[in-house]
Amino acid sequence: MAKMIMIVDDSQTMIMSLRATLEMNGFKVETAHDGLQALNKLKSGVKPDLIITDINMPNMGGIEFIKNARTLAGLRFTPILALTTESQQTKRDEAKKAGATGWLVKPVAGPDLVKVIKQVLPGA
Amino acid sequence: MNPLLEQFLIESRDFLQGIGEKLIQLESAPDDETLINELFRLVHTLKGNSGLFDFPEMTRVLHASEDLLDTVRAGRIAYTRELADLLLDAMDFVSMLCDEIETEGTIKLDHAEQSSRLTASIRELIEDVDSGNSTAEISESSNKEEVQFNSIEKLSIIPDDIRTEAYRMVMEGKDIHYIQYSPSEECFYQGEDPFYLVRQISGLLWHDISCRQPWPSLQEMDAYLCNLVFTMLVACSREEIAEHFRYVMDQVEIVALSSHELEAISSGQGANPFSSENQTTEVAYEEKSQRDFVSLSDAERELVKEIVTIQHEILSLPDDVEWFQGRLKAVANTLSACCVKMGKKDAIPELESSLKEAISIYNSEPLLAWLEKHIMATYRSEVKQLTGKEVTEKEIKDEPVIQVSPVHPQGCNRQKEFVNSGNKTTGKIPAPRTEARLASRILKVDQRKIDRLMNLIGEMVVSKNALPYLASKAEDVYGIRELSREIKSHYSVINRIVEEMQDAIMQVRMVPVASVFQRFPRLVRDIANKLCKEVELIIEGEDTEADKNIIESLADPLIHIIRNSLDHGIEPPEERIKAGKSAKGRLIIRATQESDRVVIEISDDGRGIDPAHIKLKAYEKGIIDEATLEHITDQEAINLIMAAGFSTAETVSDLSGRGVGMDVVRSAVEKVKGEIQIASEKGKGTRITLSLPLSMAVTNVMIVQSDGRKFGVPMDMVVETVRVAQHDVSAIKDKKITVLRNRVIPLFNLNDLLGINMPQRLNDDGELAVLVVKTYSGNAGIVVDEFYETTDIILKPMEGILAGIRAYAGTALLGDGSVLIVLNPKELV
Amino acid sequence: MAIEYQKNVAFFRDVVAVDEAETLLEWFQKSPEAEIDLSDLSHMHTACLQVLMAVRPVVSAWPHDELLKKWLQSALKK
Repeated sequence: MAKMIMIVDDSQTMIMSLRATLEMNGFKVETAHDGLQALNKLKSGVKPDLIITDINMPNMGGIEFIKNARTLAGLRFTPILALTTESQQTKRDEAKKAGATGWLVKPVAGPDLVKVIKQVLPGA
Repeated sequence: MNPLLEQFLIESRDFLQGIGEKLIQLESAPDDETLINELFRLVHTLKGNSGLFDFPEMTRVLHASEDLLDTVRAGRIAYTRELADLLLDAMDFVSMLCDEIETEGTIKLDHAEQSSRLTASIRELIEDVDSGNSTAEISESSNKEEVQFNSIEKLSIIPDDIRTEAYRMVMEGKDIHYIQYSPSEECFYQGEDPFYLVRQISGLLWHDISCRQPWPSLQEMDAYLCNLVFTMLVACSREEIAEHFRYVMDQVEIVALSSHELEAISSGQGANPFSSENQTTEVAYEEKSQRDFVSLSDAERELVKEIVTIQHEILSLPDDVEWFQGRLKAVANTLSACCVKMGKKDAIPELESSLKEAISIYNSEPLLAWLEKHIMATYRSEVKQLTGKEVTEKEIKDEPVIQVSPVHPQGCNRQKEFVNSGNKTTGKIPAPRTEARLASRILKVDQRKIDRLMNLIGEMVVSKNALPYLASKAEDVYGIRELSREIKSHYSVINRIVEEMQDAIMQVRMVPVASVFQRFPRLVRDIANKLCKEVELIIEGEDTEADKNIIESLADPLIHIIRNSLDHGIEPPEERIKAGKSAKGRLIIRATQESDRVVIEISDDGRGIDPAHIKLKAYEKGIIDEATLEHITDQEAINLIMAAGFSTAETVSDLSGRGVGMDVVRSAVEKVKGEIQIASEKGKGTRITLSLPLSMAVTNVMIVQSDGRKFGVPMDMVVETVRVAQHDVSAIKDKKITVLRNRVIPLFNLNDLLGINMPQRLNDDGELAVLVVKTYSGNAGIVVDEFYETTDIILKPMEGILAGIRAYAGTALLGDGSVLIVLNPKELV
Repeated sequence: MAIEYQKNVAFFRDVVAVDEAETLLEWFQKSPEAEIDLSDLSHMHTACLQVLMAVRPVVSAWPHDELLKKWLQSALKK
């Protein structure tokens, strides 16, 4: 069964770029444009196998989203990767503290993305 | 263009717009934290996006801007006008690059310089701040202590064969690391699967999984508290390991192993071929070897000697075998490894060239020569000495021995933090905001797609209109009345759907005036700065919607009006104070919807328009004659500024004085069937009102006939249609007139206007068909042969050379497939 | 579910996810003498692995995957 990955990013460009790579590699993709929408989707029963979330987003940023997501029963163990930039070392630590599994560094090259996902998602 | 790039450009425009707005808003509220955060986020995202493509010029500038904003956000630098100017310039530059990418598909080389210049100026601002107080950043690595590896006893559980293998690899110069990974108890709640992670490490030689704490009874066990410790021996570099465990580095201990440690643990375990060494020598060696070279025990040296001797023997074998080349390579590899061991790395390049030579001449001689020169000779001299130790040690130079690896000093602390933060529930989740919900339903669509829909629905309307023709044909030509009726009833259904569809598509095209208004703050700011005037801009009714084309056609006229207002209307501060006004001028742009029109009002509290001045100017320029000058009202005088060729500016400034005046504004507004009004009071200010249709996609026209040809006349210009008896037409000089409800209406024959040499036809009662239309100089009557029905058409503007003929508004397709020429009575008369 | 519980044997197949650790533990709490068959296993989550390590059941079949087998043996065969 295809694994489902949720991308949370306020940039359509970023979503498009990630989605293309993921779909090409056989993943199902669900998207949300901010933490709030993502959280609502998760609450309404969307159950991704992995979440990739941006940090800086309107309405609800990545850190807060991760914290909130981890309180949902179905999301306790789901790998979550934060999308950060080279310079956001502190954000990475914050994200990890909030419950993220790891991080990706933007811009994410296709092969790297798949590599990292395979590393954190058994059976991918 | 690929869709990703297209999306990037669409989104970038939005971001740039938002950034521009925020930059300007911040000028009046420099301490607004939300604003600066939002701004930072936009720039940050834009930069991130640009990184997806190869646009270094863009990314560089954005990166610097992001850093500068970060500095502002941290409160380390104040938000000033200079800073805003710089960032605005930077964003203009990025915007320009976007345009170029859109048209050229790439960025031209010559922007690199500008990019560097902008980047440098931005960085300068940051550095100015940083040079003052930048001691805070100490890289993590400088904290790292070198930790002695003291877990030799841990290594002792590694089976002998693996340890020997590891030892061999270290001797060959490979990196061997011992890894101990103790995942935090709460790690599962972070989506981690440590077992999965360790399974993927490369170069694995040995592994073990054990428990950190003794297992509790099954009844008490919590499956989700991680109690495992993974230990591994891997043959890969420290960097690779650090990369592999990058998310959990604080839970991982990595130790580089030297041959020495591997050997040390093997002592006393018997199975090691090198373990004959006695312990005291071992210690003595250790001290020496702490420095920079590898020391070989006697036993090792013996072994190496044996290996080398064997290689010598191999090389001395006959050369005529098939696998000769492979044999040479194998020998060279072995010798190379021995060199590393013996500290003779220097000899390796020569070994390699010897190998190449040997292969090319198909003879072992070059390798044998090398062996003799670099190793055998040493051995021979060694024999002469009593102990070989000195010789070897002197020669062995550059091999690092103990690579002691840094271990994350904060490992334990971190773990505690994880425990604390892992499972907590964080407050209440805020209720979803309406905007957020709204935003999620908004779909961004390329305008071309909507234009296509628009064209299609246009064709649909036309095709649909063919049905009534068909119906009457069925009845009149084929005499099938039933069929005619059925076609008609079907037509009404299709008609309804098409109308709804048309309406729906129109709705899609509706955009808020904000899309044009949003450029104004920047515009006003820049112009006011340039003119040294102080202006407060107030924008109201940004949400008012109208058709995209209408809105877009508004942009240029509005900009022109604003320029005029700032340039000629609002006075410099001193002058204003003298006039008893506040130093700061006020410009209000307000949009409202009034029934099916959108009304935009631009008013200022400047010096207003002086009618007397206008009259004189107009007279001087020959726009009005003396008689007009006498009786013209003030309002009519003010309207004169919209007359062609009129420009009020005393001095031509570089802003509004570009040789175009309000006449250009007027014609632009009229092109979209809009109206413009000016009201002004000297000394108090000016108000310009634009009234535009909400949509221009469909035009309602009346079809008239003249000389057997059909023409369309837009209904919004038609005042009324009347039949005028011939005797009611009188002539003044050579002009024909008639009187309608006590008003004199000039009459024009359409045939004359169009240069058709035919008189207009009368109806059976001897009456003329007169179409009363609005013109610039009041109502006028156009005499046609016959009126027909009104119909909705999709007006297509004239193209090519015909576009210059202003008497025609355009053409349209009729339901029967014929082309209708639509007239523009204002220009015609 | 990637674990199929039969009378006294649990069959592990494909990827055994983290969520199954709890059920697995409960099952062993009830039948501590049960055996496990890992032949078709390709991966099991750490949480499940540690349950097995705590229980030490008889492994009636090791995974076909040699590397996985080695890993599991280093954890369960001591």
